Amino acid sequence: MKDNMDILLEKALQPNEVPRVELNASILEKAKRRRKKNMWYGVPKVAVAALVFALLCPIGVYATNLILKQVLVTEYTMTVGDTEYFNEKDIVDSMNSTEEVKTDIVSHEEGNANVKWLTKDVQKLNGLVTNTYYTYDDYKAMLEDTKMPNWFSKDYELSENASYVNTKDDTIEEDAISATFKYGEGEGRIHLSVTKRIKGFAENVSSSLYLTNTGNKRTYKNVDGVEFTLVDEVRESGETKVTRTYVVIAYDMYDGHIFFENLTEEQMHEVLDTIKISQQ
Amino acid sequence: MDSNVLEKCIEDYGKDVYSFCLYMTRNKETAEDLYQQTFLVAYEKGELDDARNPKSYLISIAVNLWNNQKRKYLWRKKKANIIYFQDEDLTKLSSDAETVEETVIKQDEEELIRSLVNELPEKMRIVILMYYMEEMSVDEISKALHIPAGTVKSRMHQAKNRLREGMVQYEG
Repeated sequence: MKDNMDILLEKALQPNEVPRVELNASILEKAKRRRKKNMWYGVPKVAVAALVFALLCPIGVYATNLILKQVLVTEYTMTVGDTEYFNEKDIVDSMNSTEEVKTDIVSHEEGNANVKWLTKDVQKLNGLVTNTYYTYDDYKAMLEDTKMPNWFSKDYELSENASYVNTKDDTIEEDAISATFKYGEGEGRIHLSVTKRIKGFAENVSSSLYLTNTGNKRTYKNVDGVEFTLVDEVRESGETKVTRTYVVIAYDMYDGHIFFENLTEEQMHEVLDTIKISQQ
Repeated sequence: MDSNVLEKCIEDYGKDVYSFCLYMTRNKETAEDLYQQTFLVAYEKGELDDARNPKSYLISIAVNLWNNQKRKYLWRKKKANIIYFQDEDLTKLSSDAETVEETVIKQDEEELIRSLVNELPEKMRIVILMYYMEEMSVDEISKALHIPAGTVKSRMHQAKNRLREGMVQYEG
């Protein structure tokens, strides 16, 4: 039965706001143009690669029931999660945006004998988003502090300090860790980034990794039967070309990526064989 | 989907979707972008003419687009300065210049409740808007937001309690 609050809310929240005539006209115009181009919304048809489903078959000694989310590879992204509302143009525009971000440094602290972190910085972006950054020189210590998952079953040596950041505004919050490891004694590097959605996100929200000059998409099934999608990105800086190979991993509330630099295909497979993810 | 069908949908549901986008995002520019994207996505999916409840379907699209946009903003670690709209025609909605206290002075119960709705945490606000503004059922809201019906009811209950407290505080 309705109470006074129900009646008041119904009266007060009548949808009376009228969109501008130009706005509606713009929608119709864009719809007509899209129909002519026959595009899947926001993504050029020719750039859409096949969807790759990654399923774990419980073979081998280490068996899990992990199911990774589908990966969609497009011209500029690797995207996971619900791609129904995926808009590549939105992501590209966003990454190329030149809008200024006002960063206020709230505090900086140096670590001491009582904490595991080296530095702690709190920043506020545009007065709305708070980022709290920590740096660590011990990867395992960072995982203990942050309770973030360890995706590797093998210990790799850090090539530089690792970082953890907690990002939040008044509605959403997420944690992220980032680390770069050495592979062997040479120039090979393994870069890892893992994000955990804490609150404010839809369960099926999509997450995109923005890349440039993507190509050479292939798959690799590791020793545990987990199939990964590998994509190369070639970045040019003057006469220098740097190739990075990316792998995206997403399950439950976690998503992240690994990229390899200066590793052979065999070496990358060796690293992927050491990925052991257990769902909680 | 035929563009004539799209035009008819905009005519029939434009006000509902636009009002919802405005109240949900609390920013006119963002609301207009979201409003536009909502209809374009619906057009591309081509399911609008088959939908049992087109308005509910459009609102679901708007909420999902908004959730994805928020993820993108945070992932970039950037956020544009939020400028709350201050259109003189939108005197009903709270703006930076108009606080709940100032609204009370006007002693308009409906204006007050709109201000209080505007200040609710987003999760509660969205559920209230879907139920009272867009007349969606608990089941429809549950499906659109991918949350259990119990969670929908719980958020509505909490929201209404907050609104009652707000009313008492400013009328008291």
